[in-house]
Amino acid sequence: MAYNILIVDDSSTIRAVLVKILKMTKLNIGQIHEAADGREALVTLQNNWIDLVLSDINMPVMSGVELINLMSQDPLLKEIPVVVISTDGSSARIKDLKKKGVKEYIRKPFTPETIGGIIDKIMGGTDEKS
Amino acid sequence: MKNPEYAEALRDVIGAVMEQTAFLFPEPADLEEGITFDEFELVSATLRFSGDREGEMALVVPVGLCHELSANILGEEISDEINRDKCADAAKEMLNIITGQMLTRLFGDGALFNLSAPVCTELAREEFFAALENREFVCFRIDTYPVIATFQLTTGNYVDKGANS
Repeated sequence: MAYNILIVDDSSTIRAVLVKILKMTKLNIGQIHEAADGREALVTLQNNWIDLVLSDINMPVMSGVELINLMSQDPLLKEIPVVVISTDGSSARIKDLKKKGVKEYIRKPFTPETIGGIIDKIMGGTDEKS
Repeated sequence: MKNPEYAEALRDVIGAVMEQTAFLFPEPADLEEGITFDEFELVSATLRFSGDREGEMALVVPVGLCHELSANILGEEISDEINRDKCADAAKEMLNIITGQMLTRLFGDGALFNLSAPVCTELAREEFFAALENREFVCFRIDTYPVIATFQLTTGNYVDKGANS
């Protein structure tokens, strides 16, 4: 099974880096979707099957926190694992996001190994590339 | 730089972030001892933060260095053609990461902040450099490029990180 992944970040540079990292993981990647803010992400989530969301917090139009709040209220979207990748280092915010179901919180700057390891762990590492 | 603790934090954070994200190694430089921005086209990125403290950070970087930053972050060869949108995006993301690290360094991970999305604006050079007298700032040199970063609190006082963590 190939996993479809949504990357949400207002920085096109970070989105491009994450696409590269995803392609380096052991995971069998299907489609990689990109969104520049929470609102774009919601449209993508409503129109596509997504297995994992990687989201920034500080974004214009709709923040990552607002996106996660809306996802947590939707019976289908709340089942999708979310990994937050943000520059925000507040322990209170991390705790709050984990209460809302966020699986992991990765602080920027990150290494490819950190991202890859966490994604492999969350997605089970069972459906590896052949 | 008026507060030596801010200066030290800015130097450490910018050095670490530039090294980790773009394999660039900033060397501290002094605005009054020969470093000049006159010959460079500059990108100015600013970001406001609010929450436990309020203020603003800015990063002023030559376009040529932003081009190098963007390529290094993406692990690509530096091309001859400069894409200004990519340059601006790289400067904004560097500022975003630096600000997050700077706030944690100064106020600890117990403090809660909301960061605005960084914006790039055309730098009003005369006004910017004149206003430095009233701002905390540090200068660097990366290769042949000058870089300046400013940090300003508009509310709240400096506390050591132990007070909030």
